[in-house]
Amino acid sequence: MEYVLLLFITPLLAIISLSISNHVVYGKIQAVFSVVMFFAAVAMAYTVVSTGAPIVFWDQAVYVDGLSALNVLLISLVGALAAIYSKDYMETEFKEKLITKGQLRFYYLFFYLFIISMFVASVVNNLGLLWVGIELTTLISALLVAFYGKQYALEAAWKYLIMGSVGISFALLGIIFIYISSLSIEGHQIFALQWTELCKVASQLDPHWFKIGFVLVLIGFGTKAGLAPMHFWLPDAHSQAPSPISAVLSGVLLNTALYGLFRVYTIANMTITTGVAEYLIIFGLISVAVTVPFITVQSDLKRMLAYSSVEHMGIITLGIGIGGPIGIYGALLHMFNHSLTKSLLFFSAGVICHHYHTKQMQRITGLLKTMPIIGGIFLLSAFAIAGSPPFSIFMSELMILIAGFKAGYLVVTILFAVLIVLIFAGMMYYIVRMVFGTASTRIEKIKFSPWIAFSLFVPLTFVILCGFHVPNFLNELISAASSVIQQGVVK
Amino acid sequence: MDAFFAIVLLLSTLMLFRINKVVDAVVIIALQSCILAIIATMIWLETGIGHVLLAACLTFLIKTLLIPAILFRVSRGEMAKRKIKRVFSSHYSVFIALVLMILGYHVAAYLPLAENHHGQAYLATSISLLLLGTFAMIDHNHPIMQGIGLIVIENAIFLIPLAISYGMPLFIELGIMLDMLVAAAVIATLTLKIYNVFHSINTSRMQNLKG
Repeated sequence: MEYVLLLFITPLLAIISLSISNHVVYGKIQAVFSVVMFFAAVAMAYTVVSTGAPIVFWDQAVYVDGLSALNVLLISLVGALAAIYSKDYMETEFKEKLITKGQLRFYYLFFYLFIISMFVASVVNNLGLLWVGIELTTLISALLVAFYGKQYALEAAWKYLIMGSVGISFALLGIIFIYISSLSIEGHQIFALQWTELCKVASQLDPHWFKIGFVLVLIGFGTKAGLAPMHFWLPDAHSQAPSPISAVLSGVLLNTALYGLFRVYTIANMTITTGVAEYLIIFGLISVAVTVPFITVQSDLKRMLAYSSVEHMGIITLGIGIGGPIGIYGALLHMFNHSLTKSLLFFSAGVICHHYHTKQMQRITGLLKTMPIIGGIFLLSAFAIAGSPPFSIFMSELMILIAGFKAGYLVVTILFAVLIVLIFAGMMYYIVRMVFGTASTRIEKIKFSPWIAFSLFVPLTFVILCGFHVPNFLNELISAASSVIQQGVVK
Repeated sequence: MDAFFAIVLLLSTLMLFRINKVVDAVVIIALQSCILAIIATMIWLETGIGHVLLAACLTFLIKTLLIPAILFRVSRGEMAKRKIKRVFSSHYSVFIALVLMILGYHVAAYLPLAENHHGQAYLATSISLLLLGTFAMIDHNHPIMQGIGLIVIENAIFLIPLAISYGMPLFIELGIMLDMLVAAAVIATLTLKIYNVFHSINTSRMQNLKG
């Protein structure tokens, strides 16, 4: 319980510290707070894994099981890396007079509010409050997308706000239908919409209402998670936000929306016995397929990365839909791998775009010559995100493929394999041209900041390490999370 | 009485497609929210369930007073003078809205209804409002009008559990209202920024990000 509270108190303290500290030290202070926040999350996840029981308090209002702990850990890890990265990234923008002192404060304020709202969504036991948390993330992050206040940023933010809010209204309607499906059960009003209680009475829920509810939640949270065909806002929002925010948006906000979807999916599997998984498989596969043409004709680096997020959300959804112990474990491992690899890519893309003063891929050439370290990291992480061995994403994609064949989804799995090969080819075409090739003489060599180096090397370690061996703690955490999706409340 | 309120809700939403000024739309939204508060109060009088009254008070405070106040502040001045532009002409818009309304009633007939008698009257209205709100967002290019479409959708979603099960648990209702308030504030902030940067309030001009 202490760790969960610490998890919320640290970002709040970070926000308070903004009002009493000078803008020169903002970056350092925020980085320190974010590291404390990360360790609180580790301690919390460790408690959940070692005791094997969820952390429950405040009359069951807060409920942290393996799935919540995994999501919170990812949010705090990517959040901490983004905060450390922001220190020099935002200071450079400030020195170049791209942003003002007030904007710098605004940035950190909303950064932490954004993190807190994702924490709220992940630790509450109630589907209604889960919705409130996810809607809050939209509202707060829309302002972060609009941060630079330029035309494109405003357009992206507006599209994101409107599509996100409408989509998520459908999720609310779905949750209300789920509530209605529980009305016939005695004493429902006391525990209304509590996830643990819904799990216990899952077989008594009205399947007719629940099914409509589930489909609406799938559309709603699917919009927020960027599943195709509701993904149109995503490439705009993720490419227009400041790079550390792009990393948080792509790396963990999408996961949080999927987290909400999987909570409902768990109950749906118990209430409606057949045909639920197919919805996830179809949406997952469409999301992977839709990105193929967009990645192959892309000219903007950050947009390409954003489309790749649509693809990976599709893969995770597909893995969960295929199911079975391997499929679900693979999907959750993929969630972890994607978060770290994608934030690594956005971080390095941020440095690259700053240095070249453009996001257009054709104008970025000779990365290995102008910035050998960043260029090298960028090349490795691009290989990793495209799913080449020996990196972590290859492992989790392989698991999902194996699970697919085992479960007998032959056509789906073969189609999936073909699509990821196509995406690999499409991405590599651009990446190789950017990394190799002749460097423009106008680009001077780069000074490498230790803050940015740290936020690049930590995820890189995981991206490489998890390709060979999943650390014990992580393995147990993901196993705990996958048993939540398979069985609901762990007995 | 239920039928009367349902008709007022639907007619007022139809008016969204006829009016010429954004300020009028804000008034319509305030009226709608006020009706929701009255419906909740009446259900409280009938059943005596305490949290329904609280929900009624909150609806009145947040949706009838605060949110319209925020939107009113933004849509005053320069923006108030301009006529609302629609994708479809006013007549076509109303026609499409009517078709959607009938569709809403048709869909509602297929949903398994609770035995509760308020459910009968309001479920169909809610679904029609939901469709009308979505259409209002598509039909209008003005950011505030799109925000108002969103509020119509939220109002419809508020009405469903109110009619069928006397509302959601209070703390969820509270959370949703809070979200609505923040949403109105964010919409207002972004609208002002859009107005300052684009020197226009037409979202159809924001079509640069593609592919």
